[in-house]
Amino acid sequence: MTGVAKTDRLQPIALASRTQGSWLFIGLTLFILLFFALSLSLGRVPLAFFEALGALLEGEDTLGAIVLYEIRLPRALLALMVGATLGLTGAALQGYLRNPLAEPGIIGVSASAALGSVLVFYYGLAAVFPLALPLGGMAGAFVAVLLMHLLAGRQGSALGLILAGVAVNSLAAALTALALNLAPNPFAATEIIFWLLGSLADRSFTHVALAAPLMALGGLVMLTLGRALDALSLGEETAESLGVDLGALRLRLILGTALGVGAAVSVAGAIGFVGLIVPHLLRPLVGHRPSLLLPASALGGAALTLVSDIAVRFAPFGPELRLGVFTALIGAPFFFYLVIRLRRETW
Amino acid sequence: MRIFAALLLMVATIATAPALAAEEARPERIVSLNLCTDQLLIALAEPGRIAALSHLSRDPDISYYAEAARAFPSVPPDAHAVMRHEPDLVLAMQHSARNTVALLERLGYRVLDLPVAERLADVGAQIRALARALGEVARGEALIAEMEAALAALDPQPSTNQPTAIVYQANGFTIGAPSLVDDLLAAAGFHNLARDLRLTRQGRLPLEALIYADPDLLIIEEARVGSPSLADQLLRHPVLERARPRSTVRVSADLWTCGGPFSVEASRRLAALRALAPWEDAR
Repeated sequence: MTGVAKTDRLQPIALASRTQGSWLFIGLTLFILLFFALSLSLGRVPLAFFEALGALLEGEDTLGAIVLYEIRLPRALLALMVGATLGLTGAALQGYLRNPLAEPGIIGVSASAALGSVLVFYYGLAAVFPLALPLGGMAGAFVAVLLMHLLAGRQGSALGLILAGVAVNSLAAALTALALNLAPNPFAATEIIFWLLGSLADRSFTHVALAAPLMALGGLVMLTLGRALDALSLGEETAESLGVDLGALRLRLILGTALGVGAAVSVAGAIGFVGLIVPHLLRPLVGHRPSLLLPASALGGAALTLVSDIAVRFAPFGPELRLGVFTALIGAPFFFYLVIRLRRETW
Repeated sequence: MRIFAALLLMVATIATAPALAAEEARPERIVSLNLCTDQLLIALAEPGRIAALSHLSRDPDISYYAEAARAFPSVPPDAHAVMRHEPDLVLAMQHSARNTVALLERLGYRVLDLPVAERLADVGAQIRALARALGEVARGEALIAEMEAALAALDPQPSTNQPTAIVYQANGFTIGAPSLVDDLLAAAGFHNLARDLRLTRQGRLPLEALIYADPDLLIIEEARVGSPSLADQLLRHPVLERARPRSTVRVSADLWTCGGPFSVEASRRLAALRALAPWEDAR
């Protein structure tokens, strides 16, 4: 009977966070829908959006319909999916490592995925076998997340994780630069900025088709981690006594990260900080529950990336900004704030 | 001590370098440092007089005489490497290899610095200047006459309803006016749409702006075929095939990266295309 009494006492809190949570989910979804539409309607060329949309739906080949379908739609879809992947991965890594600074960009997973993609893309493998591009990214991400595990682990301090991330990041960036300098194409050397800062400009449905299924699969794997991460937030021993298999959890996390981030980076480059900012902003709003934070961060990541990808189109001079420039401009100050907060309290 | 040794070395080099007095002599060991002078040199000089060419001259994507260029040693834009060929004339083009040219001039080498051909009309002047330096005046004049005859034969009918064209290059660049390419398009009877977009020389054109410009002919300048890059991937974006399915042409950059007798060939091919396609229907 004590069990019932306990449940009774916990119920109101859980309910409160659930209603609060559902409002959050509705709000985020509306936000995403709005910015998805804005992403389709705003660009370098003023486009009569509703006219173009009408033509597209009726199957007419007007220039507006073609621009909308072939250029802006794949871009908006990729922003949505890449953002969701990064937000979700950030939340999962932070929950599992119980480390507030864990994020695919900071711990070097994105940079390694970029290295993997660069190797298969510039040396011709992706040209003969298109799926090699996301597979290369996934291989890079897998190596990095595994390395991270060995170097910092779950017991490691926040500082240890960051230091390991610095090492993996700089090595991956250096090897990427080396690979691009040695690549047979003379344009390659200047393209390092795409791989290290990311961009969604001029992507096509080819990229969506390559990466979207893998990102979806990685996302699904990570969304199933919610309950285990909830238990883990009570401590490792408690989690094990509640029947959580930590080995299986670790394996799914590594696979999900490699699938999602690897595929995302292989078509969009390494976009930093999305996975850091989003879970932090949303955590208090979901009552600090990882099982709610995971889907919320997926939505939040998609929203942030959609907004950022619209913002970069309106750089006052010259070509548009890289997506990673914008996310770093908001993300890096946030990172400072987290570091300062970490100095005061342990997480 | 070391500075003194370097000075001594410099004096020695200047002393042994070909004297300025030899300027009027017919050069027999010519080194070219620039892709464009490489090609003019091949067109004008006997092979025996060419000592070395730039490494770009061998690249078939941008060099019209790539095959012929393989017969000669290639030289990096580096004064020391140039000196090793003991040239009696070094060819360069303004705005490129500046440090090397300055050093070679200071060491007393005879350098011919040709101006860049900004327009089609400049190509004749380039040929004339180089031909005089080579002592091949007659050959130069013959080449110019040949070019002018070929251009005159194109005879773009002066029509008010010229078809429009736009050139799209790696990384999304397009070529405006005034430029060699703009003149070559005009000679073929096309109106360069980049002019209307107020692009001078070279400018970046966002992909959707290109689609919206809606040219009658989309000329995609092939970059390195077969070695992938994002710059090149942009030229294969599916929207390019979809927006202009019947009037997209892919050209190799070797015909107009530099001005030369071969540039007329670009206009000739485009004019042939213009004669073929039913442009009024395409509108």
